[in-house]
Amino acid sequence: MATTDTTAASEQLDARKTDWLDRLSELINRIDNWTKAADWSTRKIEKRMRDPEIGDYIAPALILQKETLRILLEPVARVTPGAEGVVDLYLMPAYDDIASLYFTNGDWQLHYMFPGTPTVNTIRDADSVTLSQDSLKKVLEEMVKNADCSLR
Amino acid sequence: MPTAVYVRLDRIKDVEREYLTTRLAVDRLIAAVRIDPAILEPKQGRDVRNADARLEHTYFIRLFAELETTLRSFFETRRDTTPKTQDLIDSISAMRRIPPDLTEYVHDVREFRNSLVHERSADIATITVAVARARICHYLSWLPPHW
Repeated sequence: MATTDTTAASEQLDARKTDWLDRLSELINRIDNWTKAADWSTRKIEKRMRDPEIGDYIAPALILQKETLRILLEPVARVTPGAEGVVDLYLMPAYDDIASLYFTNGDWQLHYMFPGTPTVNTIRDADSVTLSQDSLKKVLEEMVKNADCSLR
Repeated sequence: MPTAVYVRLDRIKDVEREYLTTRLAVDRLIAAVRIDPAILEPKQGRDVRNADARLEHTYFIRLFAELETTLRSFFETRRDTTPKTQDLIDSISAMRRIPPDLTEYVHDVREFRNSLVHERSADIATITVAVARARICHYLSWLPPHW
């Protein structure tokens, strides 16, 4: 009986991991295609993740580059209060936070502080839009315009 | 597998994330204590004030430790010596042809960390965790993907 329970629990955890990795892969492939179409160079990389529930695993991440601008699309967490997955966008190589994606209500929501919008404490508090080719393009265009050096 | 340099950059970003989370927790605790001082033992009030005042510096020191560990990990694959940190940074900058202004930024981070550890404050510009993370990640991005 105990063995059956353990096996069932283990299968459930494997299924959660598979669902999350499938969701991430779909997101990364979608953004890869959209950005390639907008003349960004892209490179898929891997990130080692630690998760107290499903254990350690390797997740996909994506580097986007256009001229001197480099952006990392990186998975952060499989679950967080109010969302079933968080992926961040960072300006590299400084690793500056620029935008976040939260998977809620069956879709990815893009949070970004556009210039002129009210200042908020964290990117999660910023206005959000459903991720689409257009909303991502708008954020990337803003970043190209406003990319600043955070070294000082 | 993730590259060695990316694993290190990610660890440095993790330190900043932990700092921001702990900052939030301490701020919330202080707000809760204002409403109900009895949630703390009497002497814990002083400890919470100290934690609040020293939090960013504590994480700054951790951030620098990650930088130094990374640099020594890379350096020991190239040379059989153990230089002091200032020389370690200069040696790696020379090896990897890292721009002098970026090297200088990292030395400023080192000097600020030294001022915290050795309690020297004269003429040392304060550097935030966010700026230090940006400088360190920028600098480490000049290392090869693997070593």
